[in-house]
Amino acid sequence: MLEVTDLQVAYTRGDQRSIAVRKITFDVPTGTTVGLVGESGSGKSTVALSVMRLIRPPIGVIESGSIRLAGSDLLKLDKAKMRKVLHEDIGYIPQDPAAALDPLCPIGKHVDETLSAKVPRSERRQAIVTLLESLGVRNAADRLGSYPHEFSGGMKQRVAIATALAREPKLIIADEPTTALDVTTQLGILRLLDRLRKDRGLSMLFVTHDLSVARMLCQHVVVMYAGRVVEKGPTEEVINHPRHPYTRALVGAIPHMGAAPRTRLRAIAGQQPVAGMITVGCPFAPRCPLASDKCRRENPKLERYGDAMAACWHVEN
Amino acid sequence: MGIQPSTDLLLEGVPVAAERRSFRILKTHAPIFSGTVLLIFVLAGIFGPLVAPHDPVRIDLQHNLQPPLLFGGNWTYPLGTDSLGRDVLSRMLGGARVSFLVAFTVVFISGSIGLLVAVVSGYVGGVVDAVLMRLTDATLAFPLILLAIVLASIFGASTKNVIIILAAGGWASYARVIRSEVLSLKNHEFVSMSIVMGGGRVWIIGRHIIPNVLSSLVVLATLQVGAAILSEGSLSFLGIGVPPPNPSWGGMLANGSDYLTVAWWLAVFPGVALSLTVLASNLMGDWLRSHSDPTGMR
Repeated sequence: MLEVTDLQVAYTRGDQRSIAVRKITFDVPTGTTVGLVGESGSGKSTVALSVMRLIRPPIGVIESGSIRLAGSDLLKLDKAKMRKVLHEDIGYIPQDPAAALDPLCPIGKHVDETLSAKVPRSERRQAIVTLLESLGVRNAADRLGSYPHEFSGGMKQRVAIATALAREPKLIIADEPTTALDVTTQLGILRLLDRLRKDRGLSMLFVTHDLSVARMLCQHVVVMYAGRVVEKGPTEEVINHPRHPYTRALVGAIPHMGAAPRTRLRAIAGQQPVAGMITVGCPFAPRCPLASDKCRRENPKLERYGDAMAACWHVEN
Repeated sequence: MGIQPSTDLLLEGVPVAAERRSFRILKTHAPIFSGTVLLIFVLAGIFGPLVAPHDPVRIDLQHNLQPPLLFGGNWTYPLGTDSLGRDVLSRMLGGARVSFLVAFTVVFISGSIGLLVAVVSGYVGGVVDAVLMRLTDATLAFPLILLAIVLASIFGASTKNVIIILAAGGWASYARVIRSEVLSLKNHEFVSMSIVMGGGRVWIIGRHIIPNVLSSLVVLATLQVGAAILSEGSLSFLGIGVPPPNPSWGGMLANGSDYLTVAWWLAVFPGVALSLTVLASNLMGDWLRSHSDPTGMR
């Protein structure tokens, strides 16, 4: 459904240019959820924004590559066509639904906005109610006139999801949609998203920093580090047999239920380099326990190992 | 030492709270009070000239400087007469029409221009923003009275010209304040959401930006109602406002100040009416602002 090829994005400040996303390639097959996993600053959100063409000069430039949605290259569309694609083909689920809903706009209207061009006026109300109810908003008919502040965080997120789904888009982009919610609500929203994928055959690009969330929801994961893809493949494969030392460290950092009390959580030493800082060698080398001279000199390419791909000189298969 | 400041706070807290309470009573009843005041004045402006006991511009030098009813006057001139023997009550009623006409028209015109400039400037940004904002700065920096004198000497003094002059100077403060709101709204995530859902510029401005700045616009507008009435007064004072002998509150206040020692009623009645209008419209604005916010929390 979505194919991203050799995408490179740079942010500019003054005449400084820092590459936030460096030649990355991945795809989202129809009917699957692909998780884009990485630390803050790894470029994962930039990728999501690029797909929606929200990276704009003078702040940022999409320097090269192609983003194909159902065959057509989004980067080659003119503004009007891109708007049509955004309106019809892409649904976006925001990180913080509280900020993403207009406080002066009743929730019914939010959903109505996306639906308006497609469904005739007489049927629209019923369509909105049905959609909201199917997403777990009870008594939706009575609540269309309510304002966002009258809803809880989880309910707001359901409204936002309804807005994203109303046009039955080809692709859903979710940028950490559960980060702003509390843990029990998170679980509800994740289950809802997974059900939607199964029932409606949705394709979804799911941005998260939480591997355990990705494991619940995603069929494939793409692990990003400092603007590069370091490992990608089927979720089970990547999590159970991580090839890249960074992925291994990430998996190791997931807290376990039933760990002995007072066990230290395992963190990765050091900090991720600022976007574009490392130009020579593997970006993970400064923090990597396996780093050798070769790692610091030459940047490893993605190589295929079984079903997955990883970019590291030290993969033993 | 550690306890000292908190005790102070406690002791000081009592009178402060009491003060707040009395103020809150005024605030919660604001719509009733200010609505009544404004309604009476507006009705006076509309129907006043019909019920006025005298012709507001008729000169009667034999009965000049008559005191008002309770201060030695009689029912013929309930609020007294001015130096030319014109009935103050009739002139107040006639002046209400002029003053409110000027105030509401000025606020409407300058508010609309200001909103338009602010939204275009703030949302489009870049060169457009720079040009429009320098224009706004220039307008704000330019002395309104000077502009008024120039325009009045070219086009002559008339009620229409007063409105044009005040609107020409008034839009800039709306543009300034609302532009900054637009700038912060523009970066709100719900605007990005609308872009992501394929909303165009005009749609986003109409659907999300304008409704969200309306409460500020209303507050500014109600403040400007008072300011416009006062400005009309100072223009009339300079002889470039509503041309005499037509009555306006500002003009009456200005004339009356010459007679303050011998005939206080000439300045006091229009002055009180002006103050009440300004107070009422400001309270109304405050109340509208807090009640136009759907969260009702502010």
